Amino acid sequence: MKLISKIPLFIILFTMSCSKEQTAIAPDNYVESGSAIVVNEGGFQKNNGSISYISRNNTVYNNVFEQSNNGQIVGDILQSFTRSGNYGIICANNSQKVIVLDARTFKQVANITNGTDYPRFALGVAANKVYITNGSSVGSVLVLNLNTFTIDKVIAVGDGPEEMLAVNGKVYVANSGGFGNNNTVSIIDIATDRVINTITVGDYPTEIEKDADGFLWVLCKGAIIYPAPNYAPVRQSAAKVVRINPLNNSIDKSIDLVPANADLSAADNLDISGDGSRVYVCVDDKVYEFPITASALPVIPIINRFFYGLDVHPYTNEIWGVDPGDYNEAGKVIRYNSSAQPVDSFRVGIIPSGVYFNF
Amino acid sequence: MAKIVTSILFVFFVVITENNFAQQSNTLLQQIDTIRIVGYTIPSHTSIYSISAVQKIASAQTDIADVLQLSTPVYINSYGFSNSSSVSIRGGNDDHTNVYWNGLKINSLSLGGTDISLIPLESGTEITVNTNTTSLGGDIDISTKPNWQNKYAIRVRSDVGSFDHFRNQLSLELGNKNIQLQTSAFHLTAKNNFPYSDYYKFNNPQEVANHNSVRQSGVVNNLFIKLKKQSFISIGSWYGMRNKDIPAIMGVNNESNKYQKDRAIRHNLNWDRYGSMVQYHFSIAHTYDALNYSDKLLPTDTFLFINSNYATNRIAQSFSTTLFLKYGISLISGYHYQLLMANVQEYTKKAYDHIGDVYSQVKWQKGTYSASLTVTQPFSSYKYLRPQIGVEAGYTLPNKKYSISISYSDKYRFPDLNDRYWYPGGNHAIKPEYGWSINLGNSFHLNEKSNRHELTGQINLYYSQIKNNIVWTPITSINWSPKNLKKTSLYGTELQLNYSYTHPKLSLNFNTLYNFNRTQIVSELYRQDLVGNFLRYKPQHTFRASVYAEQEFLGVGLNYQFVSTRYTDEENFSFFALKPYHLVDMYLSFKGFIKAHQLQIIFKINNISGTSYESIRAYAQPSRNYMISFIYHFKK
Repeated sequence: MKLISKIPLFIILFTMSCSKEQTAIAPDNYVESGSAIVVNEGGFQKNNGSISYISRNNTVYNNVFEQSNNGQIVGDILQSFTRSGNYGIICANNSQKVIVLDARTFKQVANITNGTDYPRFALGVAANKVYITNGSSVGSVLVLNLNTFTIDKVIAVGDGPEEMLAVNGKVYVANSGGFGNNNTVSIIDIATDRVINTITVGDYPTEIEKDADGFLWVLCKGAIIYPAPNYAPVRQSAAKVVRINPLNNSIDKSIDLVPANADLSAADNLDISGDGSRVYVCVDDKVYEFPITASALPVIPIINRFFYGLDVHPYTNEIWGVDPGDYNEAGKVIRYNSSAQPVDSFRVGIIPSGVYFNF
Repeated sequence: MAKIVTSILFVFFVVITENNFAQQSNTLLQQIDTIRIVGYTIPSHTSIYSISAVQKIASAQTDIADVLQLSTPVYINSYGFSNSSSVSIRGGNDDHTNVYWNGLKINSLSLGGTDISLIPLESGTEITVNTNTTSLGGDIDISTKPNWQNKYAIRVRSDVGSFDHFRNQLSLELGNKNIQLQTSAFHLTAKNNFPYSDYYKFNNPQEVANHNSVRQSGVVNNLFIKLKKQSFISIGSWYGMRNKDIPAIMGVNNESNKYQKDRAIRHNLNWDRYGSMVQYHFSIAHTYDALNYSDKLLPTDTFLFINSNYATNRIAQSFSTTLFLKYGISLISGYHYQLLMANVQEYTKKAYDHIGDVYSQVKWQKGTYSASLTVTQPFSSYKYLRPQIGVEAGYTLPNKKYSISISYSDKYRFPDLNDRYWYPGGNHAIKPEYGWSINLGNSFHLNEKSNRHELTGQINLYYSQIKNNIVWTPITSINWSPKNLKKTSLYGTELQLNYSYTHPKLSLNFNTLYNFNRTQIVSELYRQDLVGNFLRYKPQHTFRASVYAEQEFLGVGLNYQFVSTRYTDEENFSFFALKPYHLVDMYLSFKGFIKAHQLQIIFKINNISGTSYESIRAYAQPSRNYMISFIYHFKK
């Protein structure tokens, strides 16, 4: 019995130890010039998307939305973050909602769920007017009124609309096809909120950037299908970047990135340097850079690494690549200087997908 | 309403065909067949105890998971009532836990784990949870034992619960001292359209769980035949099916269009011969498991966006002999063999593997001392593993009130078929997971002379390491593959205390079980900064308690469960951690007897306090809900 009496003490000693907890102190504001906001989309169906904030002095703050909103979870699969005036706008595509927040405090101002069944990207097009691409198949652009926080209009565009770009009072919308395939760019007149033209580009256009000459570069990922019985990806058409002359909406240049028969290669993440002179794109798990005058993809990549997202700082031309890791745990942002030499890295949230620069 | 009437009629139709009701004053528990949870840690040194009618009454509404969760150190992760549930022991993964039915392993061949919600409560009469085995987590053995005195018994049960929950069950036992037949069938339907507070949405609105219905049926048969010369044959079969809607996660505005169909067939044939000097056991068995998972973009679509089919077959064969030698020594030797076959869409061809083991165990027992040594040589058609060692030593006080044991065992797990054959990404070079475990077990049994008061308990301490943990990880932007990435440690304690008071007119049972467990990363190939972090979905603290008091015609019981914080990622982000929760269930039982006929009505309230909680992140669980059960039992 003496032995029995000593056992509880042993158990207590055995079980005594500290648990590990995350601690983070929120910064004063989230709009500091030179800082960056990282969108972590989170795991599908796990509701663990998040926003990380990297201050100018390189301090990382994770879960900033939750910290500013009493633990309220931001959503499942965060697609994008952008700013429009004093507001920040988060598109949470699997949560089927758009969050409008105070960009300075990150406190939620509005939660929009009406018609937002698959929100992708937001773009401020006028004072208190934001366009939001929406739809995994039938596509639309939602017109969000930032005075009333309601969707005032729905503009029908092509299937699966993705990124947008505003040029000369018009917005160019890349219609990827969503879960199918499309090959068009819709042009919307901001004043009337009407589609005034549709241009055929390559298959599965997703991203649009503007260069120093005012031309628009569109990343067309090419059609990839997943046929039964094993649903392994098969490439049906080439991936390429095409250049649009916005004066007449014609395509004046096309550069192939991945040929149609390369079924396990992918092209992604188009960006252009701050001065508009150089194009960056990820192809087959490598990063390539070329001048806007180039007519072909260079042979040698500048970075030999896969990035889930890639953004070039508009002022410093630093290359910020996001590494999702194993897609279950926290990924990281790796920063390279303008010569593509690694500088440092930041551990952020789960599946980081893109960076927004405050400037 | 029609279903309620049907359920009531289902019971009373049988009741009114049996006549001559009269009161019977026997102990009520004798009338109810029992599920026994048998010594879960070290079989030779922990007490065998029965939770009998108490936990069975409390949880027969659903599945075997509730029984395990209340009474053993097993931890269940559930997507919701009658939805997929995985089972783990001592912080291991679900595929580290082997589940056996009458000695036949029934883990999924493609995923490795076991969806325990597919196992009906009628599948066995005894459950053994044993961690001192070669599996990385532990074993759960569900088996059926014959009652050779039984002549004829019938049991009919009907449950009617909240959210259109209906379950009907019919069990028959028939036989004599040489042959016994047990058969049981059930059918369950539920809409599961319970309300919940969606705190993934702004302002936490009240929502209703839609697209959450389930339809499940099953039949389990067991035939036992006593041959001459102490030989026995048992034949078992089990058919189960489930069709269920998969609900949307919380925080999402649109309804889910996902759907899952499960089918399972198991057969086994066992032959045993029990001699005074030698015993033999021979078994041959077959399992078939099929699953279809589908998804649509829109509810009105006829085109299935995802339509995935799995079908696997397993043929298992085993043989063992036990020799009883002099000086208290016994020698057990044998082998297990399994042929695994899979026809899975995502594999490029039909997959075949052979796995098994050859083992030998020497046991010694003299007086109050005992020891054993086990050597197991695993084999497979693709990887070699060194022999696995298990040793154990124990001592029991002469008055049998206290025993202590210490054990060491090597542990391993072969990769599942998805790890090897999935296309693209399957890794034919993937190595088995392996590790070791030490365990210190203490148990005591105190009772007074009258045997009215009885106090039993166990205190177990354990430490394990698992190496070569298999994790699927991206190798290119669109191609994933399993790799041996991690090393983890698992340590903790299990404290169990049971008290019972027995009086001719009143019985009282009070059971408690506390688990402390830490499952942490020791090393990680790519992420050394994760070292020391906890694995996902492993609570550090769980506590379960149940109290049940009954007299001749009335019983009342209470179940309590506490689960501490669980991280949902290995970063241990606190914002994404699941909050701790407390659950309390209560039930009242009314019984009546007329000779050999028993009628029982149970009224149960689950989750009395209406606690909002999650077992899997973002999947809602029901708040307070009710169930009424009608049970008719006849035994001769």
